[in-house]
Amino acid sequence: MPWSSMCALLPALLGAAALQSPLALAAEEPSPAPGSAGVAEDEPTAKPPGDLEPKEAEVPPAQSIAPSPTPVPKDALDDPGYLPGYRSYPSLGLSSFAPLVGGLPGGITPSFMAPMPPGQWTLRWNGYFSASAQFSSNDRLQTSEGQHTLIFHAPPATIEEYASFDSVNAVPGHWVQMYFKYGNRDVTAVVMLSTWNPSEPTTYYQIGSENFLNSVYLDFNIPEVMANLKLSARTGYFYNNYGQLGQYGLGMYQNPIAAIIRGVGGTFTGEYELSPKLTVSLEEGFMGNRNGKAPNGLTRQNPNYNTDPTYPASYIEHVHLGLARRGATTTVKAQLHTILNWAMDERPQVSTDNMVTRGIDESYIRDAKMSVYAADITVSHPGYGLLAIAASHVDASYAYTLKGVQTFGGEGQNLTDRWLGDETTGTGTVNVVAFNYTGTLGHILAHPAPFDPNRADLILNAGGVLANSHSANPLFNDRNRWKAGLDLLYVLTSWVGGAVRFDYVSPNSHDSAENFCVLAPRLVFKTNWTSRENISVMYAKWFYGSHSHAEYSAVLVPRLDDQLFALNVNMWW
Amino acid sequence: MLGPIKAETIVKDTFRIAVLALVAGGAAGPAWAADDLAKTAGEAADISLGLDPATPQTAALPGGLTPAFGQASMNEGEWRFDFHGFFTGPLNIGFNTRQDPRPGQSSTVLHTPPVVPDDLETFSHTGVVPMTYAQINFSEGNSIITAHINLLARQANTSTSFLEPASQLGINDVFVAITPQWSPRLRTDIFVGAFTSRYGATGEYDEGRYGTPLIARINGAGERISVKLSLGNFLFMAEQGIHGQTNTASASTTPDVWNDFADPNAGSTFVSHGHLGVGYRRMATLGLHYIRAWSQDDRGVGGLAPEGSLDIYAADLRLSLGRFGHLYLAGAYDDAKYVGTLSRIISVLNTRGGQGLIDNYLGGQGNGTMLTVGGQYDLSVGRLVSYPVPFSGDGPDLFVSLFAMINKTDSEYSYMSRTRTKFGIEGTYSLLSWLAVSCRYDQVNPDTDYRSYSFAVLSPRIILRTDWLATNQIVLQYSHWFDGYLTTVRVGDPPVEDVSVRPDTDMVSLSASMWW
Repeated sequence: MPWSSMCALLPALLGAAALQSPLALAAEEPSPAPGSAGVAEDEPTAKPPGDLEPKEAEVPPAQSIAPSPTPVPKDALDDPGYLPGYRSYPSLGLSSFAPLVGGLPGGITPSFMAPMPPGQWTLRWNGYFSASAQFSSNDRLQTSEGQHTLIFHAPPATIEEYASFDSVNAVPGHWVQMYFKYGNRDVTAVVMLSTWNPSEPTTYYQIGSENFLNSVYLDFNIPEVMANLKLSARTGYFYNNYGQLGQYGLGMYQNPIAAIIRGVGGTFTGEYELSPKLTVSLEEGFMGNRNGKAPNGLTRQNPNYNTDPTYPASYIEHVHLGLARRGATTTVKAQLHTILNWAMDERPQVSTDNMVTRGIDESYIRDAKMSVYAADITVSHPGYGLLAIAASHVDASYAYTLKGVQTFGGEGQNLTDRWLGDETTGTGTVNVVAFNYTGTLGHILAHPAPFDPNRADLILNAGGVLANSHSANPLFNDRNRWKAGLDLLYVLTSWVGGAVRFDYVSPNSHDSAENFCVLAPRLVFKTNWTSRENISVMYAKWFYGSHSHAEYSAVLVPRLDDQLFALNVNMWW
Repeated sequence: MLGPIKAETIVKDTFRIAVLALVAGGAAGPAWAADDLAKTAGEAADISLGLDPATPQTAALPGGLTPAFGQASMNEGEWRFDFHGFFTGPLNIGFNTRQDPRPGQSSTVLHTPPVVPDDLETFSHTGVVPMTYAQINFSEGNSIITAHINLLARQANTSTSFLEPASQLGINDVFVAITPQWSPRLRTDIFVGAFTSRYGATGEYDEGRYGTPLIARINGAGERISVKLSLGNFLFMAEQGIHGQTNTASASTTPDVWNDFADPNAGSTFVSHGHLGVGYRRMATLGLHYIRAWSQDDRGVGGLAPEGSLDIYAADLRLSLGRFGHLYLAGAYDDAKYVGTLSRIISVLNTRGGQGLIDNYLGGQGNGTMLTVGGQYDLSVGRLVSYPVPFSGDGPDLFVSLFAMINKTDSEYSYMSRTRTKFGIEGTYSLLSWLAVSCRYDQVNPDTDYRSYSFAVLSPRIILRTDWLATNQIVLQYSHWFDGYLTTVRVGDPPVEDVSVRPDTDMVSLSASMWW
C-alpha cells in the first residue's frame, strides 16, 4: 500500500483530531492570553471525546485553511509527560539520575524525571526501630590467671532464637525499617529500607543483615466503581501478614499464626458494605520469588547468604475472606485464610544426592507443596480491651525447599528442621491455636466513661500458643508444644513505668525436662503519657529444665546463659 | 562582602598578619559577643566534650573555606522530618614509572586507588588523598526527642571494579536523642541506641585535617548521658556512657573481604567512659576523659588468653578565640593489656579494635603504653584584619591551618617501641565567590629514629564552589610525595605493608563534595 494511502487511512482509524497537525489545531483556537501559556498546547487532550470524531465540515484539511492574522502558538509543552518530542534540555548523554533500566513497555507512561503536570504528590517518611544493647552472663568453666570467673556474651547466648518456638520475645532485639512514600490520592510508590543489625555496633560485616531496599511496591486506590464498594491493589515486592493477634502487631509472640507471605506479585482487595454495621471483604494475591532458583554450580556459603541452588522457584496463591461487624461499642472481625505455596521446577534435581543436606534428596526432587488453612477472630471493646483467637493447619508435602510463606513453624526449611524432621523432607502437618488479650485496668474501671490516657494505668498483656506436629519422624510425631505469658506494665508517671513479664514454655510433650520459664522485670522510660518511644532497662532470668536446649541443637547444651541485661530503645513515627 | 581596599589589605599583609595572629592568638580576649552564626574559625556553635554522632567520619574537606557539616536546630514542640547528608566522590589517579617497559607498555603507569602511604589505620595517614564517603541522616522528632537513622557507604557501587560488601554499611546508626528542658541553666542530652562517640576531634566541627580523633572513637550500642550546668561565665559538663556490640564472629568464621575480615579471636567487648569538662564563656573548654574497654568472654582466642583491657586517660583544651581563630590541643595516654581480644567497637587513632592496635602500634600480644599529643589551629585572616567591621566569610579571605601529632609507643615488643611525628600546614586563598586556591604541606615521620621511613607531601589545589559560603565544592588537586628510602605503603586486601612496592610519587585528584 502506498505511504500516502496509509496516511490517509490513519485519521479514520484513530480519530482525525488526534492526528491533526499542531498548525491546524492552533489555527482554530484563539491566541492564549498572557500568562496562560500551555492552554492552547494542551487543547487536543482537553477536548471532550465527542469532539475528537472526524467531522468533515468542521475539520477541513490544513492546506485549505485561510491565513489567519492570529499568531501561531509555539509548539511547546511545559509538562509533556510521556508525549515525545518536547525534551527541553540538551545533553549528550543520559541524566545521571536516570535509573539503570530500560524504558517501560508501551511508552504511554511518563519516564522517570519526565516533566509532569503539577498534582497533589507528597512525600512521607515513616519508620520504626528497636535498638538494643544487650549481653548475657555465665561462669567460665576453667579459669586461668588474668581471667574472671564471670563472663559476658554479646550477643546473648540464651535459648532465645528468632522465630523459634523457644523464643518468648521477652527482650526485643534489633529491627529498623524506614518507609519512603511518594504519591497522591490514587497511587503511592513505597520504598522500604530495613536491617536487623545496624552496622555501627557490629564487629564484622554480617552479610545479609542489611536488607537495603527490602520492599518496593505501588499501592493503588481504585476509583469507586459502585456504591459501598472499595477496591484497592498492591503490586511489587512486599510482604503481607495474616493471622495477627495484636491490634497493630503480631501479639506477645512473634510467629504469625496464619502466615507471612513475601515475594514479588500483587494483591487485590475489595470491601463491600453490606450495611452501615456490616462489611465483607475479599482479598486475593499471587506471588513468586524475585530471583527464583539460584544457578546450578553456586556453592552454598556465607558470602552468598548460604543460597542453595537446590531450592526451586516457588509460587504462592492466597485468598482471604473477612467479615467485620461494628457495633455501638464492640467491633468483631472474623477472617478465613487459605494459602498455597508450591514449586514445579525440574532444574534442582541432579544425578547424585548430597549427603550433607539431610532434608533433601537432590537426586529425586519431588514437587513441593504446602497448604495453610487458618481462621481468626478478634473482639475489640473500648473498655474491656482486645481479645484475639486464631488457629491454623499446615499441611506440608516435600516442603523443605519452599520459600515465600512463613508459617507458624517458618518457611519450608525451618518447618522441616524444627517441626517435622529432616528425614521427612518436609512432609507432615502442624496445628496451632493461639490467643492474645490486651487491656488496661484504667479503661475497665472507667467504663462506660472514657478513660483519660494521661493518667496512671495498669496495662495487661496475656497470650498463649498450643501447637501440635505430626510427621514420620518419631521425635516430632504427635508432639505438643505450648507456651503462655503474662506482661504487666504499671505506668506510674508520664515518664516512667515498671513492668514484669513471665513466660512458661513447654517445647516438647515427650520430655517435660525441657520445660523452662522466663522472668523479665524492666523499667520503662518515655517522654510523655502517650509517647512514640520508650527506653527500657531490662533484666531477664531463664529457669531452664535439665534437658533444655537450643532449638537447632541435636545434643544437650549445658552452656546456655541464663541471665540477660539489656538497654532497649524503640521509636516509631 | 569586603570592599576592594579590604581585599587589597588582605593580599598585602597576608604573611605578616598570619604570623601576628599566631602570636596573639594565645592571649586573645573573648570575642563571642560580636559573633554571629557564620562559621568562620573560632566561632563554635555549641560546647561539647565530643563530636556529634551525626558528623561524618571523615577528615576535614580541603581548604576549610566552607561551613562545616552540621544539623539544623529543631523546632520546638512540633514533630518534623529532617534530612541531611554529606558525600565526597573522588577520582584519584596515582602516577608511577614502570621499571622495565616492554613493547606495547608505557613507561608511565596509572594506579587507582593511588599506591601512596595514606592507609587510614596507620600513623602515616594524612588525609591528603580524598576518600569516597556518603552519609545520609534522617531524623524525626520534636524539641524533646528525636529518632535518628543514618545510612553510610564508603564506596559508590557505580565506580567500583569489584563488589566490596562491607563498603556498603547501609543503616549504620540508629538512636534516639533526648533533650529534656530542665531549666535555662541545666541541659541534659541523652543518646540511646547504636551510635558513635568521638573524643579528641581536632577540627572545630569535624575530625580535623588528619581525620583522626586523638583520644578514641567508640562505636557500639548503648547509652550516653551529658549534663551541662551553667554558672555565671562557666559551664560545667559531665558525660558518661557505656557501649557494647551486637555480633561476634564465631570460631568458624573465616576472615575474608566479604565480612570485612572478621576477627574470631575478639570476644564480647564493652566500653565504659566518663568525662568531665569546664567551659568559660564559650571561649575555652577544658576536658578530662577516661575510657575503659574490656573483654570478659571465654570465646576470645579460644578462651585461653588473658582478658584484654585498654585504659585511656586524656585531657584536651579547645579555644574558640573569635577572630583569633580556633585552637585545639589534646593528649592521651593509653595503657593496653592483651588487647587482642578487644573488638572493633573501640578505635584508637583509627585502628580497628585491639588487633588493629597490635598491628599498627603495639605488636606482640598487645601489651604496652602509648602517649599521643596533637592539635590543630585554624585562622581566618580575613576575619582578623576586618575586625570590628563584620565579616562572615562572604568575601575574599586567607584561611590557614596548622596541625601536628606525636605518638610515643612503649611496647613489650621492642621493635614497635618508637616515636612517631607528623605535622602539616594548609593555606587557602579565597579569591572569588566561586574560586579558591589552596596548598597543603605534610611531613610524616613514622619512626623518628629511622628517617628513611619519613616522607613529605605537597598538595596544591584549585577549589570551585557556587558561592562564598557554599555547601559544595569541587577540588582539583595535585600531590607530590617526597619519599624516603624506606617509605612503605600498604597493598592487598587486607592491606599489609610491602617494602618491595615502590610508592607512587604523584597523584591527581578530582573530587566533588556537598553537604546539607
